[in-house]
This record gives sequence, structure tokens and C-alpha cells, in this order.
Amino acid sequence: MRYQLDAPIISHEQIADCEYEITVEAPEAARDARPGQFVQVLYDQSYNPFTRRPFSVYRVDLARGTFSIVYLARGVFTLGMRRKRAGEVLSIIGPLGNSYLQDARPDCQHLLVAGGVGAPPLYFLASEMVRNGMDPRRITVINGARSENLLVAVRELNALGVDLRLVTNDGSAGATGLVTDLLASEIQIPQTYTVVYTCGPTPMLRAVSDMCMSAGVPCQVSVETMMPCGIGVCMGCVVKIRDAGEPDGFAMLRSCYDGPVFSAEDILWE
Amino acid sequence: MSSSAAGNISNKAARPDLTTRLGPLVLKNPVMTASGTFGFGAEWADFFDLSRLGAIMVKAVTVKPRRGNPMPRMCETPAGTLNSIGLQNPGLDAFVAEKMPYLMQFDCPVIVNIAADKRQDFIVLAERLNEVPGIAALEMNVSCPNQEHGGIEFGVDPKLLDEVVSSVRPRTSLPLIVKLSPNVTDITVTARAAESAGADILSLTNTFIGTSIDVKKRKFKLALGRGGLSGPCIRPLAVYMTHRVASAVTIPLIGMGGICTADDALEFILAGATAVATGTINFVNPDAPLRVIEGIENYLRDQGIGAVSEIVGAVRR
Repeated sequence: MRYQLDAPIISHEQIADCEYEITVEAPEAARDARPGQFVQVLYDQSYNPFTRRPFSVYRVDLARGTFSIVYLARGVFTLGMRRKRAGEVLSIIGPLGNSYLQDARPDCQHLLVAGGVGAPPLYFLASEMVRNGMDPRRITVINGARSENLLVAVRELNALGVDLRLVTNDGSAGATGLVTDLLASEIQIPQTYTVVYTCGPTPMLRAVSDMCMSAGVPCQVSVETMMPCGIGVCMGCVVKIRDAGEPDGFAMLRSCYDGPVFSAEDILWE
Repeated sequence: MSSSAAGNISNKAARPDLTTRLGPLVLKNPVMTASGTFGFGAEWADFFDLSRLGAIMVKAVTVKPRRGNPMPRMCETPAGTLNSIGLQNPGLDAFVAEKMPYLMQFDCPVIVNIAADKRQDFIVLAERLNEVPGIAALEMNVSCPNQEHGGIEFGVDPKLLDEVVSSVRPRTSLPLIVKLSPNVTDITVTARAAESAGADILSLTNTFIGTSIDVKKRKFKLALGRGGLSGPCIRPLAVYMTHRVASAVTIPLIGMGGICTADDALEFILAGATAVATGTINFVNPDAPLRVIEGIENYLRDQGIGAVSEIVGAVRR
């Protein structure tokens, strides 16, 4: 079920450089949200900005009926949203889109690869896996950002007890370089991992997808696109997805409705 | 609504009549969802019962399936959006087989928007859809480039428009709506051409051609280098065109262009539109059409007006 509602803001806090977490009260949406799903947000009805923006669901608290989103304040929309205070409301539509499919086989080793503000949905995925009884040692999370002060969800991931590997471009936390450097050097994908889940900037997603495909390991990618409507009608967020039944072997699917999670082997990157 | 306390008589008197007559087409209220902003209805299942709408104008249907234009196809502009989706749709056969059965569950007229880049395709669409049960009307999208005339839009040339509407008219017994392009010097000329060619109803306006440039990248924001502008930013232009066309033709009008609220819709109605459609706002607030219906009803009650039909074209200088 997808809800359109004005959700009271419970808290709004800075969690990293230019990065903020807003927690809203929306019990039905919190209950229905699955890892990888997102909400479309609008904080102002003055038509500027006019369209909503998508944000992945981060932390869900079923007891309190809340969930949170994380955003990087750098554009007109997010800089404006920064002004919202606890006690005000945020207009949300959601939860939207499909979700990561958790490989439930007991002998699975799960590798979650996050870049920047791609970490929130993967934290949600890891927390759901642990909540469902999975041994956290079966989950490895690579969490990367440009520098330490841009990393998200480090404390929260540590609290889950997963195998957390940090990587920063400048070496201020964890390994130095890109998440793909860590993937190439330390992490032996095919020997160790049976499934990979990733979210982050498009060049990273593409590189992670390529590495997984050459290693022969299935990889679930949450694609990063603009989503003017988020509810499947504007056709402004389509991605090329392999489909043998279509002319030229691909279809243009809506990342907001058919995605945002697609199999790496199906995505035809442009 | 409970009628027990107030009594039936006063309640009945307080409830304005929203019945809308668009020539041969009768609607329970004047609010529709504009083509291209509402998919084929199924995406709205969680938001509200489609039976509450005056009508649904479905996404444009072409003879063959279309994948649409390259990305990026959409960008935001001040109080609006630019789009060049390129009529992505599953095609006529899939529309009839897969989309119509869903739409027919609702007590809501279905208006099928048809688009083509040659006259023969419009004829194929009109003839085939004439046989399909459950369709209330056809709306011709004449803003596509005409492949037989160097890519000029049908809708900007009165002669081309007359030819295409005249050739579709005898192929269907359904009410025929022509959706006017605003990208013309004088919209009353194309409006009269569509009327004399046999249109029963005109809808206006389609999007305004525009563009937006990313100055850092020195590139157009849309892959095609241009798109159709919609949203509240075009509303004054569309209301003005509606008013001009209302005095130029005798057939009824469906007004659209940036309607977000009941007041916006009322501007079009007062300017001369018999019905209205919400468009880009559907992307932002899926419940917008319901708010507009409720707001029109409240306005009529507050103003002591018995029926929405009484205020069509009632603007004063």
C-alpha cells in the first residue's frame, strides 16, 4: 500500500557534513516499508521547487511508528528542506518502488556495497536481515565516501555487529581509495560472497556491477535516477533493461515503479 | 455525508449540481485527469477510487508500441516541468487487451488520447477504438510531428489540422475531442479549423515548447534539446487562450494548463471551459483531482450557485 500523507517531523538532525536525517511519524508507511524502497517528499506547497524528490527509507522504528530519510543538502530542494523543524509536517508519498530481495539461503554470505548517501537503504537491508535472525557475521558492508565526515550510518552498522569495512577517497577513515579498490584488493567476491547489494552514485554502481558480473556473483543494484513523479506515471525515470521479448532486446522500465532495484546483468548502462 | 440531522431538503438545496455536459458527453463532475499525467489509471489504485473522477484521459496511445525518447526526458523549471517523453506507450493492441479491462471496472468515462505521426495511423486508431466497449470519447493529440509534412506539428497548421480531423471524424461514432497546441500565433484559427472539421469538443492547451540549459555543463537539460512546458507557470497563458477560443467557437471546451487547485480550475471555467483537467500536479499530489472537485463544490455552495454549468464563461471585465 502506498500512502499520501502529511507526516509530523519527530526529529531533524545533522549527521555528517551537509547530511541530515529527518525522522517522521507515519506508522502505516513505516510498517509497509521494505529495504530499498523510497518515499517522495515535498516540504513546501509554493510550487518552487515544484516536484517531489525521492529519498530511501533509512531507519524504521515499528514500536514508535516512525522512519527516517537521509539527505545531502546541496541543491535548491534539499537546502530548503533543511529549514523544516521538528513539530512541522513533511508531505510524503510512499513507500514506493520495489525492494532488495533477501537471499534467505542459510549458507549465504551477503556483501552490501554503499557509496555516500547510498548507505541508508543498505543499512535498512542489513538491519532487516539481522532482525529476521540472520547471523550478522554473514553480512559484510563496504561503506565508502569522499572523506570520514561524509560517511553515513557507521555507528548504526557497527551496532548491528556486521563486518563493516570503511573506505574513503582521502584515507581519513578506513582504507584509502574507492569502494571498488577495496572490492578489487581485499574482497574476494566469488570465493566468499554469494550475493551483492549496492546503492550509490551511478559510476560506482556500474563499476560494482561489472566486477560482480565478471566474478559471476548476482548483484542487486538500486539505480540512481531523477524521479519527477515517483509513482509510475511520468515516464521521466526510465532505464534500459534487458528483455529478450522486446525489439532490440531491451525495454525502458520505470526506476520508480519497476525498480529502483534491478539485477546488474539486466541493466544496459548508458 | 449524513443527511439525517439537517433534513433532506436543505441538504439537497446545499449540494450544487456538478453535472457537466460536453456536447454528447455527460460527466458527473467537470474534473478529469489530463493525458500523460495519469498513466492508464492502475498506478492510482492506492490513492483513490477512480469512480470519483469526471473522466480519465489516458496516456497517449499509438498504433505501435513506443519506447519514447532518450534520457534525460524531464527537468524541473520554475513552477513547472519540461518533458520530452516521446509518447512511450504499449501500443494499440496492448492498450485494448491489457489496459481497458482495468479501466472498465470504474464508473468513470474513459477518454482515450490517440497520437500519430501520419494521418493513416490516426484513422487506424479511430476505427479500432470505435469497436472497443467502454470508451467514452477520443482525444486527438495533434501536437506530434507530421512525418508526411517535414515534421511540422499537425496542430500548428490549420490546413493540416483540418485534413487530419476531417479524415478521422467519419471513422468513429465516439465524441471527438481535439487537443489544441498552444504553439501558434493565433489559437482561434486552429480552434475554428478543428471545429469546422468536425470536432465535438476542444481541449486546451497542450504543453508549450521550451527549453532549459545547464550552464555548468553548457548542455541542454533534455536529451532532445527541447520539451513541453507544463505546470502552474503556463496557467495564465492557457486561461487566456481558453477565453479567446471560447468566443471563437460554439463547441464546448476542456481547459487545462497548470491547474493545481479548485481556484485554478474555476479560472478556466469562468474563462469559458465547460470542464477542466489536472495535469502535472498529479505527479506531485496524486489526490489533487479530488481536492479540485471538492473545492469547486464548496465554492458553488459558498457563492449560492446551484450548478457549475451556470458559471461557464461567466467572467466579467
